Amino acid sequence: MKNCNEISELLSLYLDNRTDEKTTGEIEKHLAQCIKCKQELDDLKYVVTLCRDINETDLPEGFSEKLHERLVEESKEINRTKPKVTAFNKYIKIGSSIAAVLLMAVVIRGLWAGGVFSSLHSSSSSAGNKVNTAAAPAATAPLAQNSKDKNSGSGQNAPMAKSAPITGDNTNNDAAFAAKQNDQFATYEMTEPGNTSKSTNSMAVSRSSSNMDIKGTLPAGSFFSKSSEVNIICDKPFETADEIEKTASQFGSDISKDSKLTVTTEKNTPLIIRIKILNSDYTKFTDSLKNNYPTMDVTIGNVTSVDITPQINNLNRKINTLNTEITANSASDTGNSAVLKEDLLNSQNERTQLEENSNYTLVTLIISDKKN
Amino acid sequence: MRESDKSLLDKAKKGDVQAFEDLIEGYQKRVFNITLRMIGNYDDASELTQEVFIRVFRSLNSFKEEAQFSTWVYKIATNICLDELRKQKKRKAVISLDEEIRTDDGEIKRQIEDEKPTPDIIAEKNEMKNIVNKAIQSLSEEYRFVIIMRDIQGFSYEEIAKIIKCPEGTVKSRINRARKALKEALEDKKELLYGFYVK
Repeated sequence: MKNCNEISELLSLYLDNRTDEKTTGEIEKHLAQCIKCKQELDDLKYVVTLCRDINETDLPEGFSEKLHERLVEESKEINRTKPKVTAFNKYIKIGSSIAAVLLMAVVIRGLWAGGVFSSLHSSSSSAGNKVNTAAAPAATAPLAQNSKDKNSGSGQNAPMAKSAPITGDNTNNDAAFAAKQNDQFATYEMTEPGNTSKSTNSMAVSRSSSNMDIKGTLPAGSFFSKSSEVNIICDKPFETADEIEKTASQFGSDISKDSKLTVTTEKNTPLIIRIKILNSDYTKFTDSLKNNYPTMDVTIGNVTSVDITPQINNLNRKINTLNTEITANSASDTGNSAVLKEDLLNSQNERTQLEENSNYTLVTLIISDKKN
Repeated sequence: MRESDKSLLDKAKKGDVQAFEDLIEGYQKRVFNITLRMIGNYDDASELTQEVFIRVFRSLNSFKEEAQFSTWVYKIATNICLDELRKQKKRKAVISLDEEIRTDDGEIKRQIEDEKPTPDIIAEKNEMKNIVNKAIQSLSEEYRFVIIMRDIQGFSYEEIAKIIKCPEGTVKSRINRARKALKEALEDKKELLYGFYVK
């Protein structure tokens, strides 16, 4: 038999019909005998009824119009940071970017020839790939200036001429991650292992630059813990690319939304497309490539995985620091709260994105023209 | 999530404002009312509600679709309200309610009204609702929140637990304590209230 205190703790749940049959029976038995508890139940009922009687207040006048204006502004901002290219002009834009790409390649080759990166070039290992995939941050490419490469044995590695600040004790993952965070206008140099590519010895790939051909809205610098590359040699790279995009869209990746990013194309260099495929669909996707295009030379590379724990830990540390700063800042009211909060929100979003991306494999499709 | 909402969500994620507005149509008034009761100031609640939906729009790509969109929206609204209340607290001089004020005539207790919020919410014409609103405003944030969500807005225990990311058991005991606290806050006005309330 429950006493008054025990019954009192249960009255609110009883009122909401959240007690089980046995407890309900006990409560009702107790209430029939105890005026004090019965009174308490009536009081609670009364309080709840008073709350339920409170009317909804209408939205302030002009609320929706004001929100609409702000959303339109916000949408413009989003569009500014996520350039999209329509089907009509996607290839036209390619032409306008070639000059920039070539210029970049020449400059970087010049630096290379001058020995700036030569010490790093030796760290590049051979994987027998037609073109290395250093363009993808997930491809565990060591940063050019990071001579303390801890993962140079991977066949996916390639030297990457990029200036990105690196903080802390960088593992190769950290370096790639640091690159990710600063690659709004990143330029990477991609060299074939052993520098013996038959089409180009090196190719500069500018990502997210406003004059580059970017399809879809895969955020520049998105970091994926798994990556692979697929080499395809065919007659018509552009048509093949479109077909493969359709194939990919059948495998869990909403390709029209945010799953692809065409990195670059040049007349005599391969067309490179990056697609994110759900990890669970990766094998189905690659099997489908092999089966659907029997006339093409399709080489599926191994999936390379990197541990994202250091990046997550870094972000967690940053988020904790920002939270502490925000609390301290609120106390002193120095006016920096908005900036810190924005930074916090970005870091939280980044962490979410990183965690979400761990469900996907970034596939770099390198589609070469048979004639070349 | 309904198929139509899913389609609106997909469009909104691509920056389609109209689709986003259609998607949030059913949430705006409710979010405003939650914010209004939590903050207690009409203009601040209006501004914060705008902020909620801007934040939702901005973060759409991080929304995990296995979660309920409504829960996600209310979670963002709750965070923004709690954040604002924390800011307000910091802005106010920290004065303990129990602190005694020294005067020439000795020490007197600080009047509790010094610390009470000054809610514009008291625009209700009905005297009884004024009293109840005042009493809700006098509760601690966590009690106020569960009273608003459960007894004014009618959210289930499960929904509240998801919104504030805590076990359902915690929500149960918090609602129980919050109702008792509200009953206490209304104790002085009981006679007046019973005049309006027919049991």
